[in-house]
Amino acid sequence: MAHQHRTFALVSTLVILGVAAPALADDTGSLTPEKAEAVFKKAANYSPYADRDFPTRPFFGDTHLHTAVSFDAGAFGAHLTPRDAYRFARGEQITSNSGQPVKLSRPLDFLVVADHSDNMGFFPDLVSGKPELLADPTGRRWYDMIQSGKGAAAALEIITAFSHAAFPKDLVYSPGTRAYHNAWLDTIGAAEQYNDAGRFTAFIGYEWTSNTGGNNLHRNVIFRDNGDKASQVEPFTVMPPFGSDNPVDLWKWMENYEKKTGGSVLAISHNGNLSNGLMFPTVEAFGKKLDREYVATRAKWERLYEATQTKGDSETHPFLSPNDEFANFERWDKGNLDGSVAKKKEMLEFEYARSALKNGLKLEQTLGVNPYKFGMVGSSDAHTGLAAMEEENFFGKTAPQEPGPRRLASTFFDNPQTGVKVMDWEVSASGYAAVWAKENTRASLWDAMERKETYATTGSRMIVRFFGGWDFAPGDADNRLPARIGYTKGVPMGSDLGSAPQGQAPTFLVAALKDPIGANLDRYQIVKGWLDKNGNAQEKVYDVAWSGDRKPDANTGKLPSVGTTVDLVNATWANTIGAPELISVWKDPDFDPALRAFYYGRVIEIPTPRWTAYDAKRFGGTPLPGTAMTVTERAYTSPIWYTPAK
Amino acid sequence: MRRILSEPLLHFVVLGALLFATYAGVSKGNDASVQDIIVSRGRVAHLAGMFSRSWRREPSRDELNELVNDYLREEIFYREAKTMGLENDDPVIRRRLRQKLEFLEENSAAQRTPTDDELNNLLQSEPELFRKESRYSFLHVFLDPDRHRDNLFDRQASVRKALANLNEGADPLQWSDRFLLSHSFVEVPADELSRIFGEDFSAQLARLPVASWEGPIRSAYGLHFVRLTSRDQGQPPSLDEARPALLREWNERQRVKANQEAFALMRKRYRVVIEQTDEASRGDRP
Repeated sequence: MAHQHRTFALVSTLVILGVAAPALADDTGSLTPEKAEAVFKKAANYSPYADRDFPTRPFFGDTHLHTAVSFDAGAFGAHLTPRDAYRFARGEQITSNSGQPVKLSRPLDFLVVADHSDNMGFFPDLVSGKPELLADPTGRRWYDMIQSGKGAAAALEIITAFSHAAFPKDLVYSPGTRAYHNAWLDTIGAAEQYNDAGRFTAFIGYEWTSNTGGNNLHRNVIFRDNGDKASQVEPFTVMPPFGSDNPVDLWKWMENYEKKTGGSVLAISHNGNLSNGLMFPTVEAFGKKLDREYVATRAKWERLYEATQTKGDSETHPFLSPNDEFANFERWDKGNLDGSVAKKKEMLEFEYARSALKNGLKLEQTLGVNPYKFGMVGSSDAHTGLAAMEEENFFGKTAPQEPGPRRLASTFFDNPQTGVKVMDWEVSASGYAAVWAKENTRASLWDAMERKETYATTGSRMIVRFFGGWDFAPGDADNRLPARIGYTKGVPMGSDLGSAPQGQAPTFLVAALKDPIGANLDRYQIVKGWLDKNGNAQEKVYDVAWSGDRKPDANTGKLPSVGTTVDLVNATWANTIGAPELISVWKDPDFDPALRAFYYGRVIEIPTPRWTAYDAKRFGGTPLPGTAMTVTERAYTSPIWYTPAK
Repeated sequence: MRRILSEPLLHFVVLGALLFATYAGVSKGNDASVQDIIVSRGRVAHLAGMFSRSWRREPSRDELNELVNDYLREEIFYREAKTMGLENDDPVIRRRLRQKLEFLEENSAAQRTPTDDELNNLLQSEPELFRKESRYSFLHVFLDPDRHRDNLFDRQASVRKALANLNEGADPLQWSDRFLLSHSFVEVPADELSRIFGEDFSAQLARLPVASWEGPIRSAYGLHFVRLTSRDQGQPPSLDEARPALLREWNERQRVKANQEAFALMRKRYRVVIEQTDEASRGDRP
């Protein structure tokens, strides 16, 4: 076995070194025509160079997928394991929990199986007990049975023997510890088995599920490292006495992990929309006033926020962004995670990404560090082992929600005491994480997440660029390869602008390309948030590129709607409106160098049928009144921040 | 009636009544019998060990007491609940037990290391599964249909001509429209090209001659004149090249097989009678 590991490691190394790695060379275009010519002479086009110094395509994946190893997923009837989940994400056809064949339209580039750390696994201590079993004659017999292909019969005998021996009191070391450890090792083993450098990245990770009072404070923890390091620890849990529901303790665990192993981990929080005002605190957290240590530690570990997923979108809310006509999107604002406490309007400010980004500027002003300087990803949070988030190929959030004639009318949860009721149709087929990394490896993808060069999508695989700088010129949008200009003259999503040159305003090079098999694009918007002179947070959404020759309304400044081609009866649409590509350079017309600000890109697709429309078409039947039947898929980039020089 | 049967309130009432009855039954006769719970030294050490694994320090005396008390509570609840038969017909517990057993079976069976012969057989029996993907290196000149809406045909002709008569050292990309990704691709697998350009792009590439400007071929974005610099039509891999993939596949098949065989063995221990249902409800089955 050791030998095999070595062989595998060697192959992986070769792949990492580029011997067999697929390489997307960057374009040979450059800043000046003269330079371009020189470059082309040298390259002679027969051997286009493989080296490149910036990412040329985003990698798409899911940072948040549960399998049967998660207690709740298993209880709901999921039986797909982490191995199944990786196979599916790699593009293989498998059989779903409900027995249906399922396959992605195209493979994902990476996947994090993030099962709940509490109650992880159900795996008693057999593997570790095996050497002892094999020492005696019976064990020997089992071994021989296994070797001669009667593994199944041997397994049953072993299990029976094991459980008989184990049930009585001589459990010196409870199976609890080793069972748990084995579950974790098995999760790691699955990731190690399917991690395929250069082709598909299987991350090691878990979800820490702080949920006191039903308020969602969940975080996913993602390891940069391989199993040798990750297996030196066990995931941090929530249930006392071994765990804690306070994120501060999770950060300590992360700190300890890095100290102990020399490895690296980061955390991604999600579903602020179900936290009932607790996800992004501004005054106190867990009874303790926010101080510099809290904000600095949070900023250090929580690099990304999962802004969209099956349980709704958390970018912003119509109450918080009344002037944003696209704010009312896949909204889950009735209560907390279990519906035990209904939502109040005053909670919203502390739940959504945009308001957190704004409040982060305030906290930075008072405490010196911005705790909410996070990048954006989307992910599924599916509890099925299936990262199937395409509208026409949506396999639901839980096993009972896999496609079937009943899911259009079923209830997701219902709390009669609070009146909080969510129907299955409200579950979103969303989303994925897009990562601008140079190559498809754990290290490269993780590093890109750490530097926040990521964007969230609601399931589409559109390609989105967002660069900020001080001297992008309109002509830059016409460059044959905008990315090179972007990286040369500015910084990518997730970065800082640096101090403002005298008299200049920030400029942004924005570009988006539609999903090659998806819908055209309606518009590219820049969302700006800033602190005004009085220290109040403000926001504004600018349309910066759009399809067709639409003109913004002279009075309101609003761009007319792109229209729709959706045919609900047949669940189809046409790319006769919108544009396959949007690109522009935009300069902030309202810039004040004395004020803190952030900018992020939002790209909106033309309307397409929502998964509910495909269900209605395929299963027949009438959707419940009020069921959303169309969707405008979108992407949110990580912000670029501006901080005035002191 | 079915509706009433699936009403949670009814479940609650029935369950409550049942519980009460069971509990009354249990407590009646057994007042005198006292069970032993021995919290062994090993158990305490284990609790402390788990604590320090999460918190990276030893528990204090109070914390350890708390751990033991919590364990005790759990043990008593567990025993009482089992005595009352609360695990019966609980779908969550049933599924959990099924998962447990399935996992054990698979894990016990998948231990064996396959021989080279076995891996070779797998490789030979399904070469397509392990075939290395075709890889392409090429340069492309992009024609954006939106940009040349009214004269796409003319533009196509003039670019074709220009590329055919390209001078030594001249930049072919001067004819290209802006393209957000790359203009040059090196050894990119067919599968990845499909993800970048849309579905049949690599199939079109497969038909082009190498080293001359060809096309245009069509992608999700527009038209592309292409000059292939190399095309590696996926060769069947050697055993060593395919070993990681073979091992993965072999293990996976062993797991599935073990699960099926174990179930078949267990199934033999049961004689099953499925009562006939009436026509209407049979039609209702998924």
